[in-house]
Amino acid sequence: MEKKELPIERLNNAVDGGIEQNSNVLLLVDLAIDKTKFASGLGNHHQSLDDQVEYLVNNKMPKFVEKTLDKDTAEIIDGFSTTLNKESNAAHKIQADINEDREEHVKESKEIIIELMEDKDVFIMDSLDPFVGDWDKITEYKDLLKGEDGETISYFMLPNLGIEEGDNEYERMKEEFEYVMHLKGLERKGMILKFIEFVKPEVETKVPFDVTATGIKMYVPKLLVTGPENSGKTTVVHNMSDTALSTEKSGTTVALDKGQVDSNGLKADIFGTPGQERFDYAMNFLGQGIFGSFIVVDSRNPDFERVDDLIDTLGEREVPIIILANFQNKEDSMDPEKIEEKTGLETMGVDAEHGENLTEALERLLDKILEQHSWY
Amino acid sequence: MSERLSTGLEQLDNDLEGGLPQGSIIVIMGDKKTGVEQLADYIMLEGLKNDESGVFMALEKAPSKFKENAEYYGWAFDKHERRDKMMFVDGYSWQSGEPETDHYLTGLTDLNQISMKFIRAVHDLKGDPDRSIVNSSSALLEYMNAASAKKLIKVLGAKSAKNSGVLLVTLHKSLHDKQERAQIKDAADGVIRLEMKDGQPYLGIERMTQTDHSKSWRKFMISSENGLWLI
Repeated sequence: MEKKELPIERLNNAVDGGIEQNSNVLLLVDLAIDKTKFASGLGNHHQSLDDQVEYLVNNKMPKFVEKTLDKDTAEIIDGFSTTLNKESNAAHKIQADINEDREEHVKESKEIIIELMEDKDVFIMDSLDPFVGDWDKITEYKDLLKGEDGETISYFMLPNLGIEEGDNEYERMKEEFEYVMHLKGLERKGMILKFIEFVKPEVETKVPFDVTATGIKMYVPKLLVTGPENSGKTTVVHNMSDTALSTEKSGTTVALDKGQVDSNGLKADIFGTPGQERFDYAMNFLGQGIFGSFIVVDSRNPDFERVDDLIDTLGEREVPIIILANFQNKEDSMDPEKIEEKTGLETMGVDAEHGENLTEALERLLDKILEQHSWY
Repeated sequence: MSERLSTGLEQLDNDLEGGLPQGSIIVIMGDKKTGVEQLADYIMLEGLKNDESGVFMALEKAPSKFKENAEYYGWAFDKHERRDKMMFVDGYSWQSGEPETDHYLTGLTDLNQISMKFIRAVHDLKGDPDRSIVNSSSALLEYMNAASAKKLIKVLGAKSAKNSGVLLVTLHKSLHDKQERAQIKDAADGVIRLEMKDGQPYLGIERMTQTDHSKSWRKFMISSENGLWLI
């Protein structure tokens, strides 16, 4: 059976190249994530692979997805405008109002889905909101498009109202669908870090993402690099990033360093703070909505007092922290283990100047960040 | 005992050992004509007057219509909105035409969107939300099953409780059967009821977390000149 690629390379690697044709994919979406934005982004991705897409929208007017999808290769089924008693220009419209006559609405929508499916490669159901907890109905929709020699991939968007690993609904999802992806959200000060985790197949892959104007991309919004004066923060930001900017005065950062990682398909924004205490105010705004932080220390002379202060400040924000023991290339540097003992925080030895261990540190911080999430 | 937020109604505060417990979800249940919405508005306005903040989920009518109704009682929400101390989530205008505010819903079915817009409004507020309103849970029940509505209210309540805020949720009693009402009430830490007896609304406290509350019913008075008061 052939496979079709997902938007992000790392996702495809996790499932040996993509999603098999003739399979059903459930997307369990935490409430902090816009599932329509993801679903239409997914549709658009398939269009870019020359797939024909069928898209059912039943919780908002079709115009909200029409702008993302290319009309030539997508058929939109309007399952909402009758709820409003409104005109819509969608070519396919479910006449029965889901709130008035649910059974008729389901029956009619199933007929339209099947009728249109003949020459389609992908079906997207946006969404299963009205059928939360009603597994009989979910199964009815799911089984519609699977045939012995079917080729369709069907995606179903399900809001997560508290389904957790190990409970009955979680097991049910795994039984019913060939693939289950969990779109998780982590909120900080109104900013949301979104990431995807495969529930089925059970692979250890977590992929942070965002839906941008150019599609679904791997993305981490905000990481912080801080530490005592002259510990090498600016060098860390620059050598961890592909592009970076700094504002300096006599070689010392006075406002911020800003870098962007853009490699292996990962995008991340990295902010560096000035080290001098008189710039601590900068922490207040640079530290807003961050998802993880590095504290860089000079291993030859770690200023533990200052480091403790920074840990306290960051600790209040409850973000994962990794200490980077810099200048490991120098002879008189302290071992990372010693620094870890002293600070009580995970510590990695790096040589920022030569880029030694920086990528590993970034990966490790990401892992730490993605261990958390809140379904609401 | 948790900290209290004054309702602005002296007798009600007394009956509640000082006011509503911070970080709680309170359902205000009664029939439309009993003044359920006015009670919620009044409690929110009391907070706004004291420089508090809050989010108003307007699911039953457009924010402009809401403000117009409030003006009838001399309650001005406008100035608080202008100071960003109050944010509306417009969950109504999708039914009629174009939404009026930045925070609008495209329907009442998309659970993710409702939650996200609430977060967004909280984020855009000046200050943390002290008192927020969902008006009404009855509107939610029109578009989703009671179990989903209950979970959603719990999520919004948890968001508001993060900064010790109170979430007031109105519920129109006669529109729902007992099971539906039970689900919504189950999401709450306290239930205040308004009941019509011989053409006169009465207020009673059905239950309230961490509170040895009064069990008696009080006359609930409302007029355009004097606002609200209890006898």
